Amino acid sequence: MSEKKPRVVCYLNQFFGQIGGEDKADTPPHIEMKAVGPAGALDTELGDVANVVATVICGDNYINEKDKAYSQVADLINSAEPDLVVAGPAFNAGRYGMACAKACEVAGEELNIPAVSGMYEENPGLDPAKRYAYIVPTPDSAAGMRKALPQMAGLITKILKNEELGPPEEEGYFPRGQRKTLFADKRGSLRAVEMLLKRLAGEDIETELPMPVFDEVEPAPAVREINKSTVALVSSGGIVPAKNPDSIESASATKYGRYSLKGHNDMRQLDYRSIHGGYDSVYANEDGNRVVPLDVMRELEERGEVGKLHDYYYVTTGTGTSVANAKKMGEDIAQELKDSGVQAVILTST
Amino acid sequence: MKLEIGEVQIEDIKLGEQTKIEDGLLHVSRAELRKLLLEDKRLAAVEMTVARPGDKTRIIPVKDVIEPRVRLDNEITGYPGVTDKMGRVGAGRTLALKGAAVVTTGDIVAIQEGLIDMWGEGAKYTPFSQTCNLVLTFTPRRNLEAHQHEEAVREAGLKAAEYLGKAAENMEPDNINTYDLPAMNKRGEEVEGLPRVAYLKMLIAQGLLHDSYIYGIDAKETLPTWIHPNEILDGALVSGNCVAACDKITTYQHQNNSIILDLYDRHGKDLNFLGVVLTPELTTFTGKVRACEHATGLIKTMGADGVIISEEGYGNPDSDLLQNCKLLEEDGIKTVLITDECAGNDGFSQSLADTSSVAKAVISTGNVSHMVKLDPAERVIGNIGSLANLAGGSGDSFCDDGSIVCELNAIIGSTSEIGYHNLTARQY
Amino acid sequence: MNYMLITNNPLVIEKQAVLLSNNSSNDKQGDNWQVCQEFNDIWELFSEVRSLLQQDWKLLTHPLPANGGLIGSPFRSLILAYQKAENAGYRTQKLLDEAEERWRKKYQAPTEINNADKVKAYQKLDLWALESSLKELKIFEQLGGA
Repeated sequence: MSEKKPRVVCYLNQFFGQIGGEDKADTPPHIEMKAVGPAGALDTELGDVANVVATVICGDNYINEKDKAYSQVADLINSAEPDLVVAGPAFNAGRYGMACAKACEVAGEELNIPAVSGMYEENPGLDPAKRYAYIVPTPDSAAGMRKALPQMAGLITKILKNEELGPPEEEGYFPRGQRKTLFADKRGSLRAVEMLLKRLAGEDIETELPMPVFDEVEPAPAVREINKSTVALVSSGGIVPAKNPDSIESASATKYGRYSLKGHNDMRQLDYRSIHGGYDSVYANEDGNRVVPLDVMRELEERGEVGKLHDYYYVTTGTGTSVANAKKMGEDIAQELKDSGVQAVILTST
Repeated sequence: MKLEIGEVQIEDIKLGEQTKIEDGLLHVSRAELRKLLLEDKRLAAVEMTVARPGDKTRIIPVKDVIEPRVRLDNEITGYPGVTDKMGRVGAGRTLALKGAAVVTTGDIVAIQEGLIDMWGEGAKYTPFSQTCNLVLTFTPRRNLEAHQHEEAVREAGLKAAEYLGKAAENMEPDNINTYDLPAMNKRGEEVEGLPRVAYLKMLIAQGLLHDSYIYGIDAKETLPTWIHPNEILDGALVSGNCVAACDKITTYQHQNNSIILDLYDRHGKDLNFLGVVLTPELTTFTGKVRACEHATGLIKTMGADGVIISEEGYGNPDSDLLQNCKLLEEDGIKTVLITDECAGNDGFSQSLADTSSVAKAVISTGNVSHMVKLDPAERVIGNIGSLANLAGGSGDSFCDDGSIVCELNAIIGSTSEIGYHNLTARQY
Repeated sequence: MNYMLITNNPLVIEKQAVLLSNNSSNDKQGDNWQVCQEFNDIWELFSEVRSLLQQDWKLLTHPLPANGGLIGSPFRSLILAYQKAENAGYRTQKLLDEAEERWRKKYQAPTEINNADKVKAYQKLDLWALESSLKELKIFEQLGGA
């Protein structure tokens, strides 16, 4: 009996899956028992190594916003009985990157099979995905497709042939954050002496344990007289005017809004809704105070427990936001608040 | 201070009537050794067994490992402040029975661990699969209080090592290693222009079963101490650390501290080895500040250009390690840290319990949570019941064929943070 | 100085009088010890410590034990002191969060162990570490203050 060729299932979004653009981002997932779009090119690259037997296609908004999306995608991928899952490549598309991360998670958690993807280093989907997948570094646009696919195919080949993958810098994938224990050729003390001598000679060394760099923010000192201070509300809960006039994204937000609370003491007086793609918004839409606590702030104002509530609140959606964007928004909002004489902020997240 | 350690090669150990060394074979008088050890009334019984490299033997739970030695030029023949009177060690000639070790076992408390496998997969992870081990299993007197129990077993192991060492008293060593480090003002041109390197050795000092002794003093009651490396090589440091098999520094490893040996190797060639500072790892934040400030202060006073810092343990000691690193690097002194990691069974957890961007040069001695599968042993010396309490072990640790799955945490010396071993971890 | 001993270790609770009388030093200073012990599990303990850190208490002992094997022990005893200071708890709050994270990774299930020997061992090791900490504090008080 001849050996069966390994089966690969590809996950694509609505655009690469040839359904449509942003207008089709709400498309529910479905499966086609063939290689669609770039999955076809990947199939060609893989040659005899494997067959791309199916493509699962899903809208970027759908998978990021709907609770049931994960299990739907999992069922579809599973139905094609894959030996390996390929997601993307997503380049720098944030929502697509997060979607690919979910597909990779399906592979790792539900099916216990390997996954391969491709992303740009700043894609917010990189962090959640790398635990489950080998991710090839790509440029930030789809112009990188032609180079990404053969690189991905190379990794897939090694994995399916059960070849041990070398370290990331040799094999061409993002470090996954996994520490592998193995025997060095020299004992630790000798390696330490040699490393120190190199440092003392001004030479470059490679540490055996890279330290994670955390962006540490020392909290500001406590507010001394809160009853005399102006307090502002800032939220990542995505409650905005119903028409979303600033077109803030439901996920992977790149902008924030500033809206007036003047003359109101309850969010239900305003025609606002939640556009946040990361939680079930029924209760937030019923009563926006649950995310932006305007009612309570007015009570505190009245009782003299805070000096004053700032006239404006700031809002964005905090799901799949890239660190870089979050940082920029934070800096800009902070500057505006400072310029307006605000002394303290209540940050609500969801 | 000049120390000569003469090596007498031991190929095998045999229990018998008389204690003597003949043609590389160490004969041990059961009766004499038993009598000596049971002079301490806290101990009710001692069982003696020999475990040789290659034997399908597992030793568990291991309390300490000690190298049998004898000092030829010093009144103090034992461990000053612990089994012998006070005085200085580290000069003159000492003979070591190379290839032999005393291993003490016996439960003081469950989970004290760990194990030594003399063969198979497990043997790769411990240096003591390569030594011929005289294993002493102690039964304490009934209702012996824990502090007394620990002390009794600690002292007994040291006494046994001293007793065996004496068998070599009149022998010619097979070779001699000389460790000569004069006072700073007596060093000549051989160190001129060479970078000045010190070794900052961190010692666990956090309570019973987590203690270290410097000339018999509980390390937690000391200020960091500048000490001559020979004193460490010659028995000034004794281990009271009985938990966390993977990175506890056994007395044997203090006696054979690989960082000291490797620095000595390069002294006068590409570095000027200034000496060693010992510093205790304390539990309180105030204690940590006191130790870190004082230890790094001593290093600065020594005028070091570079320092190797070794840790003992994991968890709160990581804070001390990084604080020591920070205080030195801020002063322009280059550091290399040696530490193990706790990155989870799958290797994806964050390695250290604390982080600092100044720690740019780190040697990793491996992930303590890495799982290994150990073959079933034909013989278990110590307490077979301890297997159930292995770190990373659980009811599922035992496979149908009798093999055991456990973490490296459980194997003596596997991730030694003095870099005694060559295990490491790499980023994938 | 107002001290608080926070613990969920039955062995420590049993011996608290002895532990604290051996270690409460200076009558001049009028040390006050409270013992906080009503925790169902270690998560409640961490939660209480966090809450105290936000009310001007500071941790005197490090939240993590001395080696990897003890992380995940169901018992922990920590010492705090009351000290009004800005951001007194920031750095230690971070260490506390880190400690709790490590505990959770080790024990995703409830923190109970079925092996009676192991339970006893964890209790003893925690007790002995606490004894060590109290010893250190006594030394510091004799030196003029922690």
